[in-house]
Amino acid sequence: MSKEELLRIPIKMDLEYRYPTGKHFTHFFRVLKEEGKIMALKCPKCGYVFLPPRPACGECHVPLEEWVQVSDKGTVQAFTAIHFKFFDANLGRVRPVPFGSALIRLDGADSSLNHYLEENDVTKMHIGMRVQAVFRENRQGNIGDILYFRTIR
Amino acid sequence: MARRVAIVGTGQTKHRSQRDDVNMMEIVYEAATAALQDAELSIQDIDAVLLGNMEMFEGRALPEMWCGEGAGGVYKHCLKIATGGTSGTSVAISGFQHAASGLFNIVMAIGFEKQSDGHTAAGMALTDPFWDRHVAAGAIGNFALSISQYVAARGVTREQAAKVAVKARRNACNNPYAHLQLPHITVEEVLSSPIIAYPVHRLDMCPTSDGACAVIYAEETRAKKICSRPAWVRAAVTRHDYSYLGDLKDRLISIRTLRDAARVAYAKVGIHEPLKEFDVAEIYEPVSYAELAWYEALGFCKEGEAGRLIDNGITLMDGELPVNPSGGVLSTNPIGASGTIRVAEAALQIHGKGGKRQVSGVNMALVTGYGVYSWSDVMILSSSPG
Amino acid sequence: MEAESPSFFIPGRIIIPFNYAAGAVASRFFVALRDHSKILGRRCPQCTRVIVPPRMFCVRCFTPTSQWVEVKSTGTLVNFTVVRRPEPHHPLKVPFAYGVIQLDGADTHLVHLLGEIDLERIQTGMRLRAVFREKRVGSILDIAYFKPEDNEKSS
Repeated sequence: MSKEELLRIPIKMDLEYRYPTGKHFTHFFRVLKEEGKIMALKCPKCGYVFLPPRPACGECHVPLEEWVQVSDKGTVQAFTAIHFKFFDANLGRVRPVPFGSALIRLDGADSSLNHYLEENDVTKMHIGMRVQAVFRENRQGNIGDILYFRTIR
Repeated sequence: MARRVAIVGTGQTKHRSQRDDVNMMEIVYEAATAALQDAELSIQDIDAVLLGNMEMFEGRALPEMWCGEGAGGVYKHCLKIATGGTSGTSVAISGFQHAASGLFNIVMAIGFEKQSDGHTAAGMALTDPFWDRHVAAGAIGNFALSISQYVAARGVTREQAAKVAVKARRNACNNPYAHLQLPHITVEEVLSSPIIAYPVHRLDMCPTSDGACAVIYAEETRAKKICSRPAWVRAAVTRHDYSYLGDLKDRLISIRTLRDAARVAYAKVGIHEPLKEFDVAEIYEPVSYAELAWYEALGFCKEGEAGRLIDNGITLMDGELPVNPSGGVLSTNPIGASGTIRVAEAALQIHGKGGKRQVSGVNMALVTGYGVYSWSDVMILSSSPG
Repeated sequence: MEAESPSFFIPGRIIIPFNYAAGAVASRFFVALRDHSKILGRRCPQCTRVIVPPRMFCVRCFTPTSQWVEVKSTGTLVNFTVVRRPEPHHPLKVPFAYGVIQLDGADTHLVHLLGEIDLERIQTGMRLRAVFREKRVGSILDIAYFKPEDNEKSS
């Protein structure tokens, strides 16, 4: 008896979306685009400064309205170098590796931003290292306006 | 006031990386019928069917509609729960709550995932489009960042993490359902496997699997009739936290959601020394380092002592508290089912159906679920209704 | 906080190449279409229904199906609709019709396209016949559409 043929049906999903940034994020992206500044939101109750900005403080359950500017320099809280090849659904192809990635607490903020490091060699990374944002030439008003963070002394 | 409820039957598929012989609905059917057979019940006895799954991976909207049929949910109360990695334990906890509420008498909860139909990393990349998606590298990237903090704060070594990976894949050899069974795996082999995201080696990380797992709950009167040694649910707690990695305080280091869920569950049952009072633990460890962090969060040891615990073999099959006799998530990971498998494996230990992986004299079992980013579920099962 | 206007938009694109396992039962159905232009169903041993498209188990009885049954490629139209508004995912240009069809020998219904048909004169109860493609790949669209069995009715 011949081996049963087991079929796989290939169907490629290719969908486009359009996400409005809404009340809080619009201000962040507008200032980033037009002034090259990074803004964060501060909780009126506990004083925690959220970057990325959040509509509400998760601990205090109060809405956030007070914008504060934070520095473009910060401290690495966590780091890694990604080596495995994976299919990036947003690019529609495998993302180039290796790349460095970190959680960065910008001076003035309390939470951390997940972003690229210019560095991809882990022997040159450590928690506590100082980094600075490198901005895109023609800013468009999205998180990619910060290209990556480079190590500074 | 909740009714007493016990798990009276479990069923799971033989998990592997690709099940070409069944589609998503059929893999659910396999687990459902296995659980019914284990409990010696028929689908007519079931009042409600709950499904747990991470939808994006299979590229089908409304998998609950398809799998409602596969699970026997036609003309019954049926719904799906999706909470990321905790889907499997969330659906198990929901199953318990349905029966405990008094509204349903016999409830089946099924976690499932047909990972090979899609791309896990692609599915995981659909995170927040404003802040996360541009840099996200799946769950692995997320863990790697967290682990760099954990290692810096608690000083665990790569060797200690690798020992967890070795324990898991060797334990899996006793489990006929497990995906990755590696009887000869060594620490050296783990550490020479390629680095996927520093410091995680490929063999430190869980696989992706096709699989499904079902557990059946019954309220007290029926449970005692159906099952000779029911696994009574003594506690079921869920805790969630911020969804963005950078918002979480301490992330993997102290994982406050697991600590808090365990604290509440232990208090409910009266557990003060978990290492002594539990006979077995099935915990959700997607990466080797995570299991070490969970030892601390669950109070098996003090902070900074997790490495010592694995070094001294405390959590091996012949140790004081066997952790993951099934092989854990590190050996088998159909994401929507992984949490349910923890529940089923703990329950069957109490049922005495563990076969080669049976721990002797199991009366108190601990179950945990974990989901990116830092969601935690804890259940405690016991041979006594309390 | 007042909403700033206009809002920014972040464009998103999701591209994932899925590869769905058909399962052993559906695979055999598709292979029969591809290689023999035959339509297969499965019979439930309990309720004796012939299920088309075939399933590994009968949903009503929650029992594995036990027997392969070849059904005819002719059948009766149970219900239908005519689509008039275009959407990017449509298999055909509007206006087109598709319907619910009970094939001769089957107890369940198949959903498929209707072709070579006057869209203004479709009627439930019409007798239909499957039109197979020349080049078949193992897909439900190996049947291009169902056309009226009565040769007088055509578009």
